[in-house]
Amino acid sequence: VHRRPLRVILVDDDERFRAMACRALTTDGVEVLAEIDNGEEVFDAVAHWRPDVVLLDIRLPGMDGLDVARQLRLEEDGPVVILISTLDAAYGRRVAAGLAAGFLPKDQISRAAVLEIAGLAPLP
Amino acid sequence: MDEVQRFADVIDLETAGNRTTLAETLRQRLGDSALDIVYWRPANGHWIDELGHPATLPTVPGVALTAIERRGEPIAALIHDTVLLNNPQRLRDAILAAADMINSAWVNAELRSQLLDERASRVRIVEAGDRHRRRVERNLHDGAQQRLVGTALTLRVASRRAERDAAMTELLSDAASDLDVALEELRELSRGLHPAIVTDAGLRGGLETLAERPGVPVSLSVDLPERLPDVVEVGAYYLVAEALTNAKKHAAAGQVTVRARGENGWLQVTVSDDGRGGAAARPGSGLEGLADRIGALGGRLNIDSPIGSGTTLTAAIPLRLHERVATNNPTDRRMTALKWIGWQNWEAPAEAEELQTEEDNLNFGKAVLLAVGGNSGITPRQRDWMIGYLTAAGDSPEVVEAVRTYDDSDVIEDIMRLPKMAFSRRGILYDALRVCYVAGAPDPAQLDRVFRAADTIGIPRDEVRELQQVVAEERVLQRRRYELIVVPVLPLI
Repeated sequence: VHRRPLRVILVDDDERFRAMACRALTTDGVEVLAEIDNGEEVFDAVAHWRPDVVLLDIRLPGMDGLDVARQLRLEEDGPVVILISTLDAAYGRRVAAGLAAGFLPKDQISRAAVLEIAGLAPLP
Repeated sequence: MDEVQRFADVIDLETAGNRTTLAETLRQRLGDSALDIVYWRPANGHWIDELGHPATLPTVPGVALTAIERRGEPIAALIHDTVLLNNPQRLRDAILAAADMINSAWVNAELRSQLLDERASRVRIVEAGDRHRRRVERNLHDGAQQRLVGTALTLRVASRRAERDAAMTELLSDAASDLDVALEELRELSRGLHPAIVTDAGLRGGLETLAERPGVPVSLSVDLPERLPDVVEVGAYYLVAEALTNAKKHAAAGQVTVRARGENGWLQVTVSDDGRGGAAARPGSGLEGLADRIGALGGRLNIDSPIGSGTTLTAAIPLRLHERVATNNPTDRRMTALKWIGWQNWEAPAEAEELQTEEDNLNFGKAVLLAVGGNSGITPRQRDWMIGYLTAAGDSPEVVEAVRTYDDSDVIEDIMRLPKMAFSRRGILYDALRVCYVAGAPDPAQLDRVFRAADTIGIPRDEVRELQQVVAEERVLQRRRYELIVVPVLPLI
C-alpha cells in the first residue's frame, strides 16, 4: 500500500493546462513537486526532487517527450515515467510501453490513474 | 546546321533509334570514348540528359561543344574532345548519319523531363496539402483541445468538491459526459487532418497504434528503417487506417494482417482481411483518394478483392524516386550539402543532419567563431574560410551573412547551453582548430583561445590536444595532395 503522498513532476508547455492538472492532482492528494515547461530541464529537476512519477507531455518545444523518456529510461533508479497527451487513442500502449510505464490521456489525469499505470496501486 | 534540318525532314521518324546506343554509336564512329550528348529543353531553357534529368555542360579545357539544330532551334549538343574540331566534315557526317536517332532521343528526353516535372509537382502538391493540414491540426491541438482537456479536469475537481450535493453532482456528471463526447469527436477530426502519431513516433508507431484500436484483431509485421520521407509515412498510414476501417465497417472481417517493409528503395505495404470482398476504388471513395495519393508519389496501389474471398490491398511507394524528385527543391539541395559535410567530416548518419535547424546552424557558426576569438580576432582569410565552409554546408544565405557580420556579442558558454549544442562541443573545437590552421602554422594566441573555450565548455585539454594533432596531420596530407595534383600542372593554371 502506498502511504506517503504520491510525489510527481508535471512537464507540459501549456501553462493553463498545467494549472488545471496541478489543481486536479492536488485535490486528489498528490504532491506536485515542480511544473516544467520544456524537456531539457526535466533531468535537473528529477535529480533535485527525486519524484515517484514524471508526468511527461509528448509534444514539447525543443526536445520532445519521447526523447526525454528515452533518456530518463537510461538513468539508474530513475522515476516512473508516464507519457501524457491530449491525443488519446492516437498513442497506443505499445508506443508508450517501449519508453515509459504507460500512457495517460490528459483529461484522465488523476491519482488513481497514475498509481495504476505506475504499478503502485494496492491490489483490490 | 541546316543540313541536319533537311535531313531530319526526310527521315521517317518511325524508325526511331535506340537511345542507349546513340552515344555509343557516335563514340565509335568518331573515336572519342568520352563523347556524350545532351538535349535542349526549350520549355525551361535547360540542358537535360537522355533520361530527362537536368544536365550541366562541362567547362573544362580540352572539351568542346557542338550544337545540333533543327529549324534554327537547338535540340541537342555533342560534348566531345576538341581534337574532333580538326576534322569538322567528319563530325558533321557522323551527326547527319545519326540525325533520326538524335531527333527521337531528343523527343524522348523531353517527354521524360516533362514526366519528371509533373511528378515533382504532384509530390509538391501533396506535400503542401499535408503541411497545411498539419498546421490546422496543430492549432486545434494547442487551442481548443488543450482547453477542453483542462476543463474536463476542472469538472472533476468540481465533482469532488460537490460530493455531498446530489443534484450538483448529476449536473457536473452530465457536463463531463458531454465533454468526453466532444473531445472524442475532436480527436477523430484531428486524426483525419493529420496523424500526429506519425510525426511523433514514425510510421511504425503509427501502425502499432492503429493495430491497437478497437475493432478487428490485427496481426502486424513491420520491418522499416527508423524514418521515411514524411509524405510517404503519412500516405502509408492513411492507407492502413482506411483499410482497417473498411475491414471493420464494410467487410465484416474477423482478422486483418498488415505488413510494411522497406526494401530496395521501396516501401511495400500489404493489408489483407478475411471479409466479404468486393472492394474497389469507386469514384469519390476513400480508396480512390488513396490510389491518387500513392500515384502522386510515383507508387502503385493494387486492390484484390474477389466477392467472398477477402480483400488484399498492396501498395508500393518508391523512396529513392521521391528523394531524387525532391532534390529539385533548393531546401533539399541545401540538406544534401549539409549531409555531405556531416558525412565527410564526421561520418555522421544523414538522419542526424535532418534534425538541424537554421537556428542550430547559426549557433554552430557563432560558437566556432567565438572559440577562435570572434570576428574581431580572426584574419580576413580565416573569415573567408568560415564563410566558404558554412556555404558549402548548405547554410542559408541569412545564416552565412549573420555569421559574417556577427558582433561577438555572446559568450560561448551561453550558446553551448542552447538545445542540441552539447552534442556539437567537440565538432566546434575541431572546426575552431581548423580555422587556426587555415594559413599554415597557427597563431599561438588563437590556439590559446580555443583551449580556453574548451575549458569553459567542459572538454578536457588532452582531448583538444588530440584534435589539434588530427588537424595538423590533415594539413600535412593537404600539402601532399597539393604537391601530387596541383604542382605538376601549375604552369597551366
